[in-house]
Amino acid sequence: MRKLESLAVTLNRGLPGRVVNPRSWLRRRPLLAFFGLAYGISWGCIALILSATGFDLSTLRPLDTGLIFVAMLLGPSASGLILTAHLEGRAGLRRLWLSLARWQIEGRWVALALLLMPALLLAVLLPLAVFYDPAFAPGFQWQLFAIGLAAGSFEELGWTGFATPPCCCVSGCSRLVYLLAWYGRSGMCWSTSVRTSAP
Amino acid sequence: MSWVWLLEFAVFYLAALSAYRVLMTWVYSNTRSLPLAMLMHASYTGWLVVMYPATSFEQGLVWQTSFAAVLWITVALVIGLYVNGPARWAKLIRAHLDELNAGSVDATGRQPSPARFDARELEGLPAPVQRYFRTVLVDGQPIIAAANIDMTGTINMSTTGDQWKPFASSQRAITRKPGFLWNAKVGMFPGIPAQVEDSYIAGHGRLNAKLFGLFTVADLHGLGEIACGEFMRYFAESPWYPTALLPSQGVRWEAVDETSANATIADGPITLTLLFRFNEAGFIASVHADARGANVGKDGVMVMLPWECNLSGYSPHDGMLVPTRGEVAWMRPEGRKPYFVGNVKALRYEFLPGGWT
Repeated sequence: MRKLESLAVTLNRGLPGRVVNPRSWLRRRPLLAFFGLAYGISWGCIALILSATGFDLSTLRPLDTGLIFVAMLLGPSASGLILTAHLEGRAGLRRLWLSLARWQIEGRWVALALLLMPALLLAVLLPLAVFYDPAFAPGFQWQLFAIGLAAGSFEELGWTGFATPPCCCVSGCSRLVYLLAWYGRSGMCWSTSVRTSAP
Repeated sequence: MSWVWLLEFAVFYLAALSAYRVLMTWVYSNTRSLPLAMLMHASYTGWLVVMYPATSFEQGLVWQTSFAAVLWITVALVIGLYVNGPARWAKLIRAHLDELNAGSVDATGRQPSPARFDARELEGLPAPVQRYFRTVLVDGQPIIAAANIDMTGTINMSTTGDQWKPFASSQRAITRKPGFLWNAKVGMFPGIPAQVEDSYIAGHGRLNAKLFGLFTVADLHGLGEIACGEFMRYFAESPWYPTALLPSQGVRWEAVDETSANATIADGPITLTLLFRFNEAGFIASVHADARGANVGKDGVMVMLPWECNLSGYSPHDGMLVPTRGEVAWMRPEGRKPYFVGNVKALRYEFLPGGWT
């Protein structure tokens, strides 16, 4: 970071106006930095993987999809850890670690977190399967749940561990911008599913 | 074909994921738990890939659209019930608290109060009453203007059977113009809270209960028996603000026997006399009323029943000894029927100007 600071000083040398200090800028704009870094890492890696296929989605191999999935997890988790370490130091990382160990939660919230999704999915799929077409019946491929565990464990280090608390504090246009920024994640998910659902 | 992909992107990823993120943020704002957020995210992705049906692309759009719609309906329900409901309830409580506090400021017709307790005013009081005041107060104790009491406990929501439900409450009582407001959140069923207000403000009683803070399940208010019953609660809970029981605060004491005394208080047209019983340590152990209005039976008809409030667990607060546990019961013909057990979690006092030097 000192190199970055000296670079900023060098770049600003001879120019009118104030010197841009990356550290103070990060402190003022942590969310912007987080989203920029998270999407930069994820989309940068995804673009690299896609470039190997000439951006032809139909030629993606399972390995490519797997790498895109890893890139999707890496962006938010790495950004959250990097920025926490940079902005709060060891104390921030320790806080994050301790928050991971905080499992004293009321049972109803755990039940909601675990059961809301299957309940809603079944509420949609079962009537369609019964009254419309059996093809809508849920697949129940249990081994795939590991994908969910990986996605939740890594991504939320950044989305909730770093970005959600300050997101709840900003107001007005900034909140709208950050709300829209969440949509970038949708794009990452979409990019991983293109190969599997492409005709 | 590209627009079809855009449609899928919009429906399945933008619409569904955004709705689920709103739900995740709501859960996080209530729990502040990072592991729970991870679990919720894992649940979304995990269950989605586990249950993913083997449908055609067009069929996929059908169920994905339905799923996104169901998620947004869930978001609307959450916002309506768990965000809007408490917000509306809080606004109502704020308005009633303003009325209560206005009563405290505008205590016209009340006799002037000393700012501090003077032990000389105990002269001539019944022996157990004198012993009580000397036990819980020290000479020069500032007179309480308001008490804020946070409680947790259980309450029986059935008038005939046993339906004990947990509650958490915050209460404010003012003493210059007697009044209180008890604001409680009762867990009727898992995830289904009822907001309850029990109050006595400017001579009016009110019992108001709403599911989610929106749907009224009980609404009694006005003068007469409801006001009398709520004023009775204020008086019986006076050991939490013990200076309100002093003769200088308008309470008249009459001896009954070695361990009990009658106390009488008046507010406007209502005059109450309750029997205070004292234990060996000198504390008030119970407060008894011969008749208090109770809703008995499914027809909701109010009948008068003997009523009792037991107090225990006295501990020091701001130089006074006050109870930390209360149990309230109806004395029915078939026997004693407790319906409220509360434990004090926090007490904050405000004193009359000049009370602290």
